[in-house]
Order: sequence, then C-alpha cells, then structure tokens
Amino acid sequence: MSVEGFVITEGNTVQEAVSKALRMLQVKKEQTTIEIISEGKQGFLGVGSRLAKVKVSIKEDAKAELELTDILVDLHIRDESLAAQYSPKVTDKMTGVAAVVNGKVVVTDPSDLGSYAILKPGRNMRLIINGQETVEETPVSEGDMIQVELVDEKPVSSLELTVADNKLEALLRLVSQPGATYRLMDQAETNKLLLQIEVAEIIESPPVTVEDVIRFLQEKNVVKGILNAGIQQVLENQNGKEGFPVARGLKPEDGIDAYIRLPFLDDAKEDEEEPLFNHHQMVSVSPGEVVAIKVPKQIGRDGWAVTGEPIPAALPKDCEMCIKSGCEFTGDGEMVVATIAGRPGTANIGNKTFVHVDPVYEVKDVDQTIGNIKFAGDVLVRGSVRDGYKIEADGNIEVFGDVTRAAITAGASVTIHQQALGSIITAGGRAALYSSILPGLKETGEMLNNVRAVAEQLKSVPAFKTSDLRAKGDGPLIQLLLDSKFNVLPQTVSELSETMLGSKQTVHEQVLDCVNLLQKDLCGLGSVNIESVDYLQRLKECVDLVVGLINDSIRKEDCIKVKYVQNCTLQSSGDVIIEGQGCYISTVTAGGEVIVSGNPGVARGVKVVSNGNVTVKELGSDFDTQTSVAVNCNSKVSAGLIHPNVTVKVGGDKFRVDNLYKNFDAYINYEGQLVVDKLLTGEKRQ
Amino acid sequence: MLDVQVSTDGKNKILRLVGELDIATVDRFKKSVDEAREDVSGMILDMAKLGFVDSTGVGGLLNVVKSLRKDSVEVKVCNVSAEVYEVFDLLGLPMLLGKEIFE
Repeated sequence: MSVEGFVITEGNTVQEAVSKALRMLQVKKEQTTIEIISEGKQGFLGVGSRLAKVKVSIKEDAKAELELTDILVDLHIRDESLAAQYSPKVTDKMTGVAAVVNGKVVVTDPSDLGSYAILKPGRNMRLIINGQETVEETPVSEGDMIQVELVDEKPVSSLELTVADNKLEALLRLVSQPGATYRLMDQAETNKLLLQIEVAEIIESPPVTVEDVIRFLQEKNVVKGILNAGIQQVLENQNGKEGFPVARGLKPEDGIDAYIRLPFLDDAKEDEEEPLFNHHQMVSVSPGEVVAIKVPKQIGRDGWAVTGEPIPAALPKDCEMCIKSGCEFTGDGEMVVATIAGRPGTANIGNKTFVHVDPVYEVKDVDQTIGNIKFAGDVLVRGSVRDGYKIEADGNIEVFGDVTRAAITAGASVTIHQQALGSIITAGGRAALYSSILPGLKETGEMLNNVRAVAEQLKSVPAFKTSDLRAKGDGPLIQLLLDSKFNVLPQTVSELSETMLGSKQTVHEQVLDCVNLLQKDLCGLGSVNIESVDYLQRLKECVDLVVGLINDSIRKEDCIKVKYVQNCTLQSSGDVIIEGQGCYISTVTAGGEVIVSGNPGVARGVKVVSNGNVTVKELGSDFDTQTSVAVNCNSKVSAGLIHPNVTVKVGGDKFRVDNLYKNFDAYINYEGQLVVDKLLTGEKRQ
Repeated sequence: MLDVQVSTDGKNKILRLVGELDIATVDRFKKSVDEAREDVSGMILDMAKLGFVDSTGVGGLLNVVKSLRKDSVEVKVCNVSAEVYEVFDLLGLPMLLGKEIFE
C-alpha cells in the first residue's frame, strides 16, 4: 500500500483500472472510495484511444484494519503481474478448484473428467505436496497431502561504518528494518490458485544500545576519539541518509621548514617573489648590521587516527646558511653580520644559501677629480658621469644624474635617473657571458656521456684489440675518439675557454675551474693521459654542477633603466626600460623585454633587437628615419602609434609599415604565421 | 704481425695489409706508406687480410690518410672485413673521411 493510502491506475476500461488498483492496495472494493479521473476512449482501430484513469483511496475506517499489512505491501505490488494471472475466475463446475479458508488450502476435485485444480506457491513459503516440495504450478486432488510452510521475515538492525581515508573520522549509520510473521491469506475458489501471504504480526527490530555501538566500533578497530554525542545521534536517526561521526582523530601539525630571514628585505619589500633584493633599489648595510638570520626548523606535532595508531607529522626540511664575502657568523652561527659596508645579497645553490655583502663605491661625480672607476662591487654616482669617463663594476651601477659620452659596464643592472647621451651602456655582463657559454657546456656534458658509451662499445667489438689499453690506460682510445667521431668536443671546449678568457667579467670560481679542467683533459694531447673512461663520468658530473650553478645565476636577469636615451648603444642581458621621453637614434639589444613607457614614450631612429616583447608608445617618425624592431618568434611587438617605413621583424618574418597606424600588434600565431593587428588612424599627422 | 705487400697500378700504389694493425705494427705501416707515396696520385689500402686493429693502429691510419690528402694523394680503403668495419663505423671514420673512401 502506498503511504498516502491511495493509488492512481490506468486501464483499457474503468473496471480494469479499478481492479488493478484494488490488487495493488490489497483491499476489497467496499473498503475504498473510487474517483474516476478519465473514462477512457476506445478509439478507432486503436487510433485516438485513451486509457481510463481512476483514483482509488482506502476509507479511513478500513485503514486501521489494514495497517498491519502495510509494511510488506511492496512485496505484493511486485507480485502484481503474477497475481493477475491467478485472479479468481468464474469457476467451471467441471474443473477442480482450490481455495484458502481460515488459512488452510481446501481442494475440490473435478466433478467429471475435467482437469484438476492447480496450485502455485507464492513468496515466503514452501509448498510441499505429498512430501515433495514444488515451485511450479502443480495439479492437486482432494487426496493429496498439502503442506504450506511459511517463511517469516526476520528483523534486521545493522551498523554501517565508514572510516575516512586519512583515518581521521569514522561515520556510522544504523539501518534497521522490522520483520514479520505471516499467515496464508484466505482466497476464494478458483481452478488456478496462487497462494499468497498476509502479515500476522510485525516483529520490531531489536533495540541497539550505546554499548552495542561501542562494542561494534571496537570490533572494527575504531578505538580512539569516540564521540558519545555522535553515537546518540546515530541511534536517534536510524535509516538516515548519511552516517554521523562517531569518532574523530587528531590531525597532525606538520613541521615548518627552516629558512633564512633577511632583515634588509623587511624595509625594501618591493618584490616578494624574488627573495633576492631588488636590483634597482640600493639596499645597504653597515658593518655589524645583521644581514641574515637562520630561523630553525620547527618540529610538528604527531596526530592519531581513530584506529588508535599515530599519524606522524611531516618532517621539516633544514637549510644551510653559508657565508661568502663581506660578512661573518656571530657566535652561535645562527646569524650573519656584515663586516663591510655594502649591498647584501644571497645566492642559493641546492639547499645552501650563500650570504654576501658586496662593497659599494659611492662618488659624487665621475670627472677629472675621480677618473675612471673599476670596482668589484656596486658603484653609486650621486651626480653625473662626464665626457669620456668609464665605469666598470661587477655589481650594479646607479647614476642619479646624466651620463654623457661615457662607457658604463655593469656585471648586474644599470639605472640612470636622468638622460644618457652618446654613451655605451652594458648591463648584466656576467649573465650575458653565462648565457653564451651555457649551450656549449650542456653539449659538452652530453658528448662526454656519448664518448664513454662508444668507448665501452668499441672494447667489446671482436676485431678491436685492447692490449695497448691494458698497458697504457684508456687514454689512446679516448684520444682516438676525440680525433674522429667526437672531434667536435675539443672544439666546443676550446670555444668555451676562449669565450671565458675573452670576457672581462669575473665569473664563479667553479665555472672557471671546470672549463680549465675540460681544456686540460680534452684538448690537444691531454686525453692521452686519461687512465679510464670512468674519468669522463667525473668530468660530466663537474659540468652538470656548473650548468646548475649558471642556471641559478642567470635566472635573475639584469636590466637597464634610464629616462632618456640619445645616440647610445644599450646592451642588456635582461630588460631595457626607458621611462621618460623616449629613445632617439640608438641601438638597443636586450635579452629580455624592451619597454618605452614614458611620456611621450617615443622610439625614433632606433634599431632594437630583443629576445622578449617590445612595447613602445610611439614607434618611428614622420621624417623617414630608419627605425627597425626585431624580436624572436615567441615575442610580440606592440606600439600605440606606428609610423610608415618602420620595419618590424618577428622571428623570420618581416613587415614594413606602409601607413600611420594605431594599436599596432605583430606576433607569430600558433600556426606559425605572422599576424599584424592595426587600426588606421584616419589622419595624417604633420 | 703485419705484412705490407706493395704493388703498382699505373699512377696508383696498392698496399695490401696482411695481419694486424696495432701498437706493435703501426710504425711498420707508416714506414711502408712513406716509402710508397713518392710520385703517386692515388693510394689504395687493401684490408682484405687485415684481421685486427687497436686504438693506436687506427690513430696511425687516421694520421696517414690526413697526411696523404694534404699532399693531394687520393686515398681509397677497400675490402675492409665486416668486423674491422664495425670498429671504423663506431669511430665515425666514414663520416670523418667521407663514405667514398671505403670501397
């Protein structure tokens, strides 16, 4: 029976729909009220036919009487189709019939030669005829011994436990279903009888107590962090959709990694992503000032699972603080203080952090009173750099005034607060050098591996005699390989060495040592003295180390920042940023981006070669001055305004501007084609 | 052991190498080439009977070929056994000297 106490059914006729409803409700017609929703229509040859629809409700007084059978009515609805076949039919006196009267099967034999009554067992019962159990339709006669054993439904109470993957929570749900005892339902005489049951008594499910739940949890190994309130909830909300937490573990608190705190960054917190101080701002420390503090790792707190086992907290990582130059450890070794006045900085190699303080050389003006400057640190010019003077610095160079017909070369960045006229300005010498030797170093590393592999292979070729190698070591073989298949290797190493020697940049000791070692061992007759091919592996490891160091070192690119540029040559390993009026009749080479962003932000008569995007407010001029911009194929040239005759080159594709455009963008799309977006200005400027 | 049999074919000298080209015989090989190189336009190194080489031997061969080429003597290496060719191949000789040198 449906909970509402009524059903809505359909049938070809009203009568059919009603009988269907009565079957579904398991009630007699007089116990119900019937409401006809639709009469139904026969239609013509099935066209336009409509089913009859009725709503059959159980009368209030009948409900109480029927309540008992409610619980298991689902069962009967499922039986409906089967029951339909067995619905009482007009019984023919010629045939045998069977009925259930007061819970007993009563069989009447046919009067004449008609067929015998047929029995079929229904649900929850075993039909035993003359000691033989049957599940099929079976003809029976009066003389047969018919036994019906009813199978009662047992009540069920079960607990469903879900322990979270991290074992920090256990959810419990109580599912309980009452059981029932049955009796055979009385049925009228029919020649084909489906035996059916009705509920005799409902058996409540056994009560579950808090103690039961705790015992159950213990069996399931949930022993720690039991929540009594949760258990109460489970018991009060049986058959709930979801479980309730009945136990909760303790989450571990992970340890905190050790790190190096740099107090000088606290004041100059401009770029938090780059733990290294900002290149464009002069940070300085005085002797005795704290440069770095190691904040020790903090051990976390272990947690535990609901199953009782501990959950260990993640172990914190330690880091090592080392000193390089211009600073020293204080007594306990947890702090670094400056020994000189200068610019503090750090370099990370692996999990080691090297702290250094580079000296800063500060002058008023660079002129005849000072002369040229060459300094292994930063140079700060409070005034200007005058005609014909030179500054070379390993670190940054910052000039607050102008730079006029001078040469400025910095290992790191250059910042000029006023204008640069007729000068040569180079930034990031070391990074530029490192970038140039990096490919060669990587190639060398790979080739070393290959030489080793081929040498091993050769030794196993039958026609290749190795007696000379046994006497003299692997040297002659390596020499031969470097003379033949791998003759590129000594060449590459020589080039590396030449590049390093040719550059005035100071480089890391490890880089210099490595290249010198390669030169000694692989060029000329050096390789003859190598004892074993395994030595090549050691060389390769040395190269790998240096490649890592260089990668670390050139990650932070240096840049040139200047307000106004005229008749200059600018070379930067990183960006070139012109923040004032613009850039006139100059050559700009950049490893990063070129940005001309000031007011009006003009680049006119310039030649720009850049490895990154070029963004200019106004590019070129009306006077047909030669202006060209070249970028690599992954970069973009953008100009707010672009004049005719400017040449734009992106990767290998060239575009010559033929008109005055605004909002100009040129780039290579994903199909490898040059795309030029632009808008005609519609006016010709004079 | 290495035996070098020299014969002349017009302007070409043919050196037939028999035995092994290794640290013990490389000097004998160089000497034979030096004696034969006077007034020739081409030199053919027949290696049909060459069974073994070592790194010193191949190094010597490489130097000889380079030196002959410097004097505009055309060098050919022929009848190299598969075993010895495997060594030459691993050392990249066909690439270095040009494939056409091997016949």
